[in-house]
Amino acid sequence: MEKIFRIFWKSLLFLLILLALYSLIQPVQWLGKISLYNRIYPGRERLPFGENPRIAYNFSLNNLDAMFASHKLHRAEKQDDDFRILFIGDSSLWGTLLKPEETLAGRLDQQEMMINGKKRKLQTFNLAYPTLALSKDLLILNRGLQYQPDLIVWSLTMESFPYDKQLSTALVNNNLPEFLYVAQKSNLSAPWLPSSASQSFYSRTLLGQRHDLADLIRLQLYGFMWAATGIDQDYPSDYPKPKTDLDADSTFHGVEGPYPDEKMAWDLLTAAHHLAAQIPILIMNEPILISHGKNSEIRYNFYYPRQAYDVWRESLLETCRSNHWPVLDVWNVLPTSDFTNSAIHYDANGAEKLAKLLSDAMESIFN
Amino acid sequence: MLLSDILILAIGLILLRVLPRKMQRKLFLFFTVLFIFKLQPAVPIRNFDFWFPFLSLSVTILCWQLCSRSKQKGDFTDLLVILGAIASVELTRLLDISNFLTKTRPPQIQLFLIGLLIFLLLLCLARFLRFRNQKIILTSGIIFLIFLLILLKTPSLTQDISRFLRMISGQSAENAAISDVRWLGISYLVFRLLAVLIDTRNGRKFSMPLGDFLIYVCFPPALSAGPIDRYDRFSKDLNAVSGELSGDFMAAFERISVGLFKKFILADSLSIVALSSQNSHLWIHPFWAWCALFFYGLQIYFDFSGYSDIAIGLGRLIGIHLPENFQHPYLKPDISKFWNNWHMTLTQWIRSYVFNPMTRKMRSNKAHPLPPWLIILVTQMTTMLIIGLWHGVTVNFLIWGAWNGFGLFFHQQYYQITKNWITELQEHKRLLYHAYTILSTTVTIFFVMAGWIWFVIPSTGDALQFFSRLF
Repeated sequence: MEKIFRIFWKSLLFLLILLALYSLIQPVQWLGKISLYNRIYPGRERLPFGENPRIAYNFSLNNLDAMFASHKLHRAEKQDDDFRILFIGDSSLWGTLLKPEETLAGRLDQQEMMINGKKRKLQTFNLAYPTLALSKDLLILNRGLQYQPDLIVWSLTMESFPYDKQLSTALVNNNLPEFLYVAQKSNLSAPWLPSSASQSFYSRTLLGQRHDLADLIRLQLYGFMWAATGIDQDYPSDYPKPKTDLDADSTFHGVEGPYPDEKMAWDLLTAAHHLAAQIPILIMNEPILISHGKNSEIRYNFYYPRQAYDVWRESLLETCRSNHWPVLDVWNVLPTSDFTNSAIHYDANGAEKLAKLLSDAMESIFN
Repeated sequence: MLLSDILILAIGLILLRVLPRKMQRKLFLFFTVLFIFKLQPAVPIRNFDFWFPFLSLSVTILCWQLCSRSKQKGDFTDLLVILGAIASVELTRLLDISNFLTKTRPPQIQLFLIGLLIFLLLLCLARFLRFRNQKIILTSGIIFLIFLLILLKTPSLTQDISRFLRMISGQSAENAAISDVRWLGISYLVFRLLAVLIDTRNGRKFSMPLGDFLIYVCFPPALSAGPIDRYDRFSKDLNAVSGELSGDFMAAFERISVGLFKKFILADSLSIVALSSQNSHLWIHPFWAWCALFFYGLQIYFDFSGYSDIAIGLGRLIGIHLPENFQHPYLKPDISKFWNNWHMTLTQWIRSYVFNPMTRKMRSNKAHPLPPWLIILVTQMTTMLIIGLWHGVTVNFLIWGAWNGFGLFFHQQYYQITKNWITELQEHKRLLYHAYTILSTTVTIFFVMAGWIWFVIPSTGDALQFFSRLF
């Protein structure tokens, strides 16, 4: 028995030393940079995201280093005649229910275009992430800028603007220190920004980070399935269509009429432009489903009451005009039949139409 | 078994080990009964997370009653301890701690009493019958257990059982599914019981006390995934348990750690990338399909041998030396050696109770002697088909059994032809022999891996389609 107790105490001591070292070193971040993607497996076409990993071979994690290391952008070479475009935005751009090649970025990739009088090959990268918040776009933009883009296409919608959504999105919430750094770098000072990101002691320990560590391993394992099957999301054969018969509700986030500007994160648009500096950002007001069913005179769709959306759209266009930011307003270009399972998710057909419009817009901007 | 179950089991077994010997056996029995209920997974059919363990215990006691020549006074006390433990589980219903030992609330007290009464009546009947025409009674017991296994392993019959159980539980039979009938450890339990019934029927004296027999059959570490120990060997260990833990503790700790690593790190990680029935049609290139197939082969090995390691380690905590179940099977140079080192306790069981008696019977037929190759073909094929069907009565398990049966037969024929040459290589040309061993190990691995396709993919069409993806 004495021997057992001796072993027990020694094991306990060893464990405590290991835990203390882990808390000091904080290896999760740099471990995220180690990746089999782009070496053994091909890089992913879009950032990892998914809620059903066993079917989608993809899942959501919070480690930005690991997310970018798994993306094909991470190791992509840029030739002299390449025109590199990064797409940032939400699930509609990420391509829910679309195969990578059917997304907006996928459709434009490898196309040739006259840019400033020279023939260039478009090299597009889908950096969209399926949550609705401008803050996570800023976070991703900051990372994306390290990869020498020539243009940023930012697809956004009104639902991403309310203040209360900016910190509640998991990606930002779990990367708050980095987001605060980006905010500082881009001169963002918003009332909803916390002054500092406090981390509890537990969250710095091995126990607190066990899920993050497991996620890093899972990401590498699912890389095998991605490489072997080309699947990176669940494609159900059937899914519920977005509602076109709507409630007689004219509020947006509980507010009747136009949503107050002071509750909207307009300042994030300015911050993004500040961050991008010389690299142009083409803002795209993404298509929404315009329903023609019950109460469609009050609401466009599940997300937006007509009045609030119209006012917001005017404000967006006015902001872009006054700041000389290029903008592509395609909110109403797609028919109901081009939407899949949500009022902002368009299908492959819709993506093709948008690709044409975007291509035309880019040509007019650069020529 | 969940990690929490393994931890509780380990603590429980250590505590039992250090108890005074007088109390040890009865408490071990009590603990075993409680743990059968604890380990039983949730079942959608009302109360059957209670009734399945109850039935396991009942069948075990009835078999003991039919076979045993034990006349120890302690048997009655053992029965009281078992009934006391079952009653304690039922009692959790009244104490409102019902999720502690069973996944859902135990049945109403009236139902429990009816179940108990039926069991006691059957026990009296078994006691009455055991000295009358024992051979017929034991044969009936053997047939009953085989029939039970067939019922539980045939998908269509299992669905019917689920429908029936749902009906008697007052639930909708429309929702009946094969997965409803999750009866923990029944395959292993039946094989342990069959061994005793067959041996007794063959005239072997069986006098294991009731408590020891129940601990042997339902030994919690080995209940869900083996190994299948022999009762006489187990009994020897059980009677030699000492309070001195330190030597066993180190060995157990090491074995459990290895098992946990194999099961929860290696096997669970490999399950993400391994071939499965869901992904068999998704592979875009033969290279990935081969990788997935090999990952499956490794996953099933680490999963199964990991569980065996955990069981063996937990057994050591209480002083039971469970037999080895896997000994580097994938590193063996031929299919025969592979099967001697893969799920060894199952193959040994089948060898003892099917292969050897069958071979003896066929060889003893002097009137119409059969050629040796035919005897080998029939016995090996039967053995492997039974192993296949033990996993499930489906076409693909049958093909998997036949695949390995033919493999064993052809290896046997090949060995007969080449054994002199191989011996010469082994003795005089070591380098060539090593190269030959590497080649034969590789061929064996590929053969075994290809066989797993039938095992993992339930549909024959899908399995054939996957074969075509490999080339």
